[in-house]
Amino acid sequence: MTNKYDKIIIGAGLYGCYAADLCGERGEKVLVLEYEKEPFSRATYVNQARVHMGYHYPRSLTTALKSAGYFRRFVQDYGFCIHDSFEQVYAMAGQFSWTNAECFKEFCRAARIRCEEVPPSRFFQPGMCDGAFLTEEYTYDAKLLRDWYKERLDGRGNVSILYNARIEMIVKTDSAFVIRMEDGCEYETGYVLNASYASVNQILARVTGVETTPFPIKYELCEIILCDASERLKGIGITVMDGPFFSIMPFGRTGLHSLTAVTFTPHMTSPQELPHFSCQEKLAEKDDACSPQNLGNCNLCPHRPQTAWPYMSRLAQKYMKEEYGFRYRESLFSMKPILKSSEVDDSRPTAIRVLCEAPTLVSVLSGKINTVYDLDSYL
Amino acid sequence: MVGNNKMRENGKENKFISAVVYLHNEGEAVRDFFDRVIAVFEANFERYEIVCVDDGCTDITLEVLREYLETHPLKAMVSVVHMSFFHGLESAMNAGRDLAIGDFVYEFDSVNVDYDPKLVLETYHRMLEGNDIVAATAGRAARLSSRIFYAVYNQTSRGKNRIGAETFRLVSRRAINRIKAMGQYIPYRKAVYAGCGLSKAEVCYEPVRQKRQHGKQRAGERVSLALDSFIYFTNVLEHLSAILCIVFLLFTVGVGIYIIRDYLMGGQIVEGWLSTMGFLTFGFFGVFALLTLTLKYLSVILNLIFKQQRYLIADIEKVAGK
Ligand SMILES: Cc1cc2nc3c(=O)[nH]c(=O)nc-3n(C[C@H](O)[C@H](O)[C@H](O)COP(=O)(O)OP(=O)(O)OC[C@H]3O[C@@H](n4cnc5c(N)ncnc54)[C@H](O)[C@@H]3O)c2cc1C
Repeated sequence: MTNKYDKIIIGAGLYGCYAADLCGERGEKVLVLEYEKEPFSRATYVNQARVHMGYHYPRSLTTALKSAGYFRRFVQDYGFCIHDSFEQVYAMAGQFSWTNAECFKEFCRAARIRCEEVPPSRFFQPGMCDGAFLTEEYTYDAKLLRDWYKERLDGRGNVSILYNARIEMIVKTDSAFVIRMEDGCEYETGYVLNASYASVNQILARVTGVETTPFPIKYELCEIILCDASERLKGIGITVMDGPFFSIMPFGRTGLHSLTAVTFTPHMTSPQELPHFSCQEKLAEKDDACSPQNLGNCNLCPHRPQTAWPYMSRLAQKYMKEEYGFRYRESLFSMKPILKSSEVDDSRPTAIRVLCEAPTLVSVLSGKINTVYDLDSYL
Repeated sequence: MVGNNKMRENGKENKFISAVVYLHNEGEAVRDFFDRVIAVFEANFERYEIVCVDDGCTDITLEVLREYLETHPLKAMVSVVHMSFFHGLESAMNAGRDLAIGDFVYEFDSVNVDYDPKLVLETYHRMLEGNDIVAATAGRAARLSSRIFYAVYNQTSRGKNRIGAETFRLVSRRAINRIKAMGQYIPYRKAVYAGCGLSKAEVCYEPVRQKRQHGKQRAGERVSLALDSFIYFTNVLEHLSAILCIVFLLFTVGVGIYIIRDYLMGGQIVEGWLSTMGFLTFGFFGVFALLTLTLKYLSVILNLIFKQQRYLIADIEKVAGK
């Protein structure tokens, strides 16, 4: 038995859900294939939840200008899950920073984004930072966003989501793609969107009949630590840029802060185009196997790494004044695919590739949450 | 002394320790250092990190290090700061210390172990007793030139703490913050730590093995660092020019007296000699007086320049750990 759809979308992260919603609105018949039992189970939930304005990319003005535009649009469209009532502080470390305070000011002026200088001694230990700025940046709450999308998509009769989906292979026929599942079901469509993020190359490897070159990516297994912030820290987010630095900022509307650090957040890396990690071997025997061909969910994995809390907390304490305290709550893990070409300028673009037309196969590899609008012209 | 009380209350387990290790073409010696000294860290500290400073190594040092870490898993995270080019001990170690995140930071200027590794713990305990800088020093200073240097230095330095030939030292986060607050660049760590106004202790030991002669610091580098230190931290030059100034002042006065006496006694002197001599000595007095002022100004300017970053890092690499 074969079911036919106008579009099949692989992955129910933000990118997949956004695409499904947009196409559903047009009346198209859409199927979303999701590996997990819920949407937003991976990167869209397990990340820093920063709605980027562009401050992060002082080496690339184009990225910054683009981010600022996307920021406003995202905040407007998804206001219900945005937390914006806190002070977001960006600071430049006195040592190791490739961008110094002057450059940052210059950059913000050029990008026309808020940048109000404050004395670093308000937040930081003496001499640790040579510039601190109040900026405009928010955080989004993935769970609120998830529930909103669930309700919205459920309400559309023409969009269905299949959870626990196990794709075996994707075969191109003359005029369509047939997706065969491990349980034998088959789905046919003229348009496939591969929005599986860290699994993007693994899905491409399952396609037959189309020349698919994998994305040039490396993988980082990342840890986000959630903390209880002290009263003083509650209304503040702090990011020390860039080099081996850290960030502690509100995590959506959860009331918790996320803590990340460039050196300690990535636990393991895999430079190959498919993810190879030593922890995969420990799982190999089980059903929910995680392998270079099929990534599991790092956050739910029994072999996820030990927390880097001792390091991350020490690093933050080294910079911040004592009154901005915080305590460990829990750790979240997820896999981050990083485009190798973007390592040089930090621009982290949304990579979208059309691998085949009529029938169409499009792959997206996003860098950020609020660049989701890049999909518009491909759907 | 709130900080110190808190340190003791929390006890040893809560302290995060950093070990900053200087590497410049050490060859196999890294292995020995890790086997003996880092073993003490591994056995005694719950949480610690190792920051290796690769100061332009061109030999097998880093391979030896990587291979060692692969075969000897540690609970610490190990990172390597690669300097852009050879910086010399002082600047390179500044980079290493700036990267370290510990509450207490060990600075190992050399991987050459001529002490009992337990000394690491002894310095640690001295720290807990309320010191902010603890130095491990070899009982007898290696070289005569070094001994003279330290003697003269301690005589003329502006700070109250003394410095000596230190093999490694332990510095508290409080001391590091204090130094940063003074807005100082650190051209010579020992001297800045000693002068930061916090208490410093020394732990003396008898070197157990023959120290490798000269270490990595080349003779030229040592002499230049010694000279720089005199200029940065002592008033030797100011004193010197002030003394010369006074000498010439006395000389001028002397010549003056001589002239008057000669004049009164109506002695036979060559025409113009007196005025020439008088002019010359007075001139020299003026020159040295000016020089004294200039040196004073220069020392102020020097302090301003201190604030600038003086090292360049090529890359920071995580080689082992969680
Ligand atoms: C540590 C970290 C921090 C980040 N911080 C930020 C930040 O602060 N701000 C920001 O804007 N961005 C951040 N990002 C990036 C951001 O998280 C991603 O760009 C975004 O979540 C990607 O959305 P997505 O829908 O493409 O991916 P996902 O949310 O990962 O969705 C992919 C979906 O595909 C499913 N899937 C995977 N394999 C298969 C398969 N074989 N079959 C079927 N389904 C499959 C997954 O289960 C998942 O639901 C961060 C990323 C990481 C990893």
